[in-house]
Amino acid sequence: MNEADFIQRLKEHKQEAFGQLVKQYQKMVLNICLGYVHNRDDAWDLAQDVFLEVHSKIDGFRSESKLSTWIYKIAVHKSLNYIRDNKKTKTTLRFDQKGDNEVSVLNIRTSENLQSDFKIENDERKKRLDSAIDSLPENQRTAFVLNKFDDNSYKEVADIMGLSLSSVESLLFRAKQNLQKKLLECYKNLNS
Amino acid sequence: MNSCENIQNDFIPYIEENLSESRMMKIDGHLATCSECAGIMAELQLSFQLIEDEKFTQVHDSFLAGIEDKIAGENRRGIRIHFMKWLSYAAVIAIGLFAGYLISNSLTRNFIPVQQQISSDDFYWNDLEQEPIESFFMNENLF
Repeated sequence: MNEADFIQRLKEHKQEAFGQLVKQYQKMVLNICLGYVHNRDDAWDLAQDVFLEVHSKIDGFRSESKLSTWIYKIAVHKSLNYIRDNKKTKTTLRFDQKGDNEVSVLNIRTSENLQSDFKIENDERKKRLDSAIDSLPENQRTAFVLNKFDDNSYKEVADIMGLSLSSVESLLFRAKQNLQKKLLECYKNLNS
Repeated sequence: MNSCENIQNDFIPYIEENLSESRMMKIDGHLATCSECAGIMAELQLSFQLIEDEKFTQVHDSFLAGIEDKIAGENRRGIRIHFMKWLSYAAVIAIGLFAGYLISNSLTRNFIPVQQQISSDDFYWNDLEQEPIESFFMNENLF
């Protein structure tokens, strides 16, 4: 079945067509969301919301781009919205907890006792990596996520993002250079 | 650019094994003699391993089931919203009808029937009933 027929079946709200769509793109959407929100549980919920939006907006899809490009754009858009909304919540939580210093110190000590040194080191490592990925421009970040998290080849990344192969090569080269620079700065600061 | 910086520029392609064999061997040689670069490389490899450990490689069927539940929930919400919309229309119409009834009731209460006014003043619209035209002309006083 070609993509046009498949889209037609989706527009007719055939349940098995939607199930097939989810199976086909679930890994890509989950990994895009993970690359943006850096938490598997949040990525899971967010990816489900992405498919919910795909389901509700499929009637308006005009086939101006490939289905995968349309879905990846929804996933990126939803992830960015989630990060923006979550930043507000986090700020509020921090503000609320300000006056209760004793409880916070107690909690940190308890968690330190529970966690092994390796886990703490890995958590720090992950924070540095997430922060370096977050600092990338949106296009570089998405190309990197599609390539590293979802194991897509450069050609596949180009197809999904609706870009030429040379554009994706350039995006990924710059993304990796930027990432390397940020991480090396972090490691040098840690050692000095 | 010193030798360490030159080597460090290729650390990510080295991890991805995306370099020529001679370049790979050159970096291997440097890492064997430079503890600082070896430390940074180890740290970078561990960081990239985190992506491998964390990414979704297989997805459980509960993912699709969760989406279907959410869609069913959205549909139920949609029906509820639709029902509430029609209920609100019905309420507006009922309130309008009730208000109309109240207004018309209050106007009726203050209304003085026209017939009573006419009867009290003995005013007749139809004079011919009181005095036929023949007797009017026969009236001597008229001329």
